[in-house]
Amino acid sequence: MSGPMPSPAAAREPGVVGAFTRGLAIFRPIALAYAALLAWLDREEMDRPMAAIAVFAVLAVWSLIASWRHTVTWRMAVIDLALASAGILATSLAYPRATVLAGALTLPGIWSASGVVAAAIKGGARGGLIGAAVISVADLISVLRPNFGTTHNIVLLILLGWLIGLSTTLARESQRLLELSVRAEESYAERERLARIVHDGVLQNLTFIHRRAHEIGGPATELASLAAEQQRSLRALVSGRPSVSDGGTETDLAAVLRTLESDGVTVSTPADEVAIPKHRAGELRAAVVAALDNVRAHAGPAAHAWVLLEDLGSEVVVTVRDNGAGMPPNRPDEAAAAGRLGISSSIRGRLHDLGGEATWSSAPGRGCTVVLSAPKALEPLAPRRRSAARE
Amino acid sequence: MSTRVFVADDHPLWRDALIADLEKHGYAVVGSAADGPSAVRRVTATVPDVLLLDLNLPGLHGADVCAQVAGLATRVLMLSASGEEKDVLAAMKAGACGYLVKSATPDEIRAAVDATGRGEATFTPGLAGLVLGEFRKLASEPQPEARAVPELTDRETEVLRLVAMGLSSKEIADQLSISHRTVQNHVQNTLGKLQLHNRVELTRFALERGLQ
Repeated sequence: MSGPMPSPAAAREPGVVGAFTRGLAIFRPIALAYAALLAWLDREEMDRPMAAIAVFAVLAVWSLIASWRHTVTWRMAVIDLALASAGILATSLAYPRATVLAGALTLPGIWSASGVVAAAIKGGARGGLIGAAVISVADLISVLRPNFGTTHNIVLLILLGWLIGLSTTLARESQRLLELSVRAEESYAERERLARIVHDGVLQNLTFIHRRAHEIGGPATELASLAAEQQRSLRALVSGRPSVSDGGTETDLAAVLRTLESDGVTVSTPADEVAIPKHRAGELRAAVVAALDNVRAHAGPAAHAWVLLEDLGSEVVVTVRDNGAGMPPNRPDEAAAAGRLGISSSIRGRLHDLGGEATWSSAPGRGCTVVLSAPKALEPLAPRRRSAARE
Repeated sequence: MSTRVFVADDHPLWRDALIADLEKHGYAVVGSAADGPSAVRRVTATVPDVLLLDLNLPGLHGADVCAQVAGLATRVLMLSASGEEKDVLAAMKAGACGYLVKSATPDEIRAAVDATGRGEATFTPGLAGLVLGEFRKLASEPQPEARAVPELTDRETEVLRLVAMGLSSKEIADQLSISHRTVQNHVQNTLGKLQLHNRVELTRFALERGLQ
């Protein structure tokens, strides 16, 4: 690399900050010219005009340097504030004490605002307020007893520092959010592209291997289920889109349940998100997992299970059915009585905690069906319709 | 007369295996295509009985292919390697007659081709869950008046739920004490209503956008 790179933070300053910086560069000389003009008109009042000339000479040199640099740094803000304070205190040298106490303008006049603006650009609302405080203190020291003009100036300086600081803070924050969302969008697009590649190539091949190995049968069946397994996890990986509600308190129950799909489990859901609070989705998932464990344990090795998720507006219903051996209707209670708390406690307890219920129906030889229904949220008195919210 | 089938799939191995299997069992494979636009062109030219269509063709998406061949006598059976829920639903709304996942056995695929040829809907449990969810969503949305939204009857909803829970038509017929034919009709009707709703939407959209 040949030259120093601009630091990324500086390169990405929001437009508002740049505008303030340019504005400040124009403001310094104009404000100084104005202050000098006012002092010239007042020259009869001064006992030591040389002091005023010295102050204006120093401020003029600095204003040119500062405005020439077209940037704002902390060091510049400090110099601005220091020079303004010195200029304010030097007012007492140039004018007789009585004139100063009577409320004469300070020598730097509105030029003092430069440092406040510079501090606000660098340090946000806090920086602006600190800058305003420095100038205010200098003002107060120079007059000791604040007159109407002093108070007026202090209020204006505080407002100026605070508001400019606030707007640079907000601009930086929104710039940061914009960059975040651009980055998220980029990574989402990249993910889509990868998903497309994986889908067209690897997934199709795995599907093909799965199917062919099944047809060949015998020892190849093992290959088939291996391919199916890889296919599923790969698909889950590439189709797991970063949800908009990510980081929020809600999650998509449909996506949560789809992760349970396997060779022996088919999951059916609506196409749209079924948004419910995260911990409720977790509890429901755990209940479904328990029901599926139960299928594996009791329904027989060849049993297949189907999970159906239905969104009924204010509540969700998850049905878990298997085509296994089935059981007599009072089996879950027997299981509870026998201390095998698997179904009873895990599923019923969870659903009860969610304010819902779990019901079983089964007949020997006809499989078993568990219906889990639960409200989406525990506050049924505040039904926020999703469809209304979407429009 | 054997069923005339067209195979549109961009995966050569899969396509060749499918064609070989179909031909071995006496189907007339009248053509194949590896991308969406050529599938539309060739299907329009050959008008097969059944179009076996991969959901994710390059160039033109499955739902768009369905929409473009909707005017033909050809019936579409969708196949996909993965369950992209929204895409499957869009293709069914656009006029596909059935849907199968590619992990289905050759027997299942052939049975679905036969059913599609007869004009019967082929629903996987996953698709039934999607359609069920779609009707629930339609029912919960506030409807502008004078907009005919076909709703499912209780019996249709019941049948659809059972399909989604993995029961075969025969099992459903047994459980509800109705004939196999009636079960098929109910499934058929749900698909018909879904597509009708889609057409109503499209018409409304066209009316709003410039056919005033």
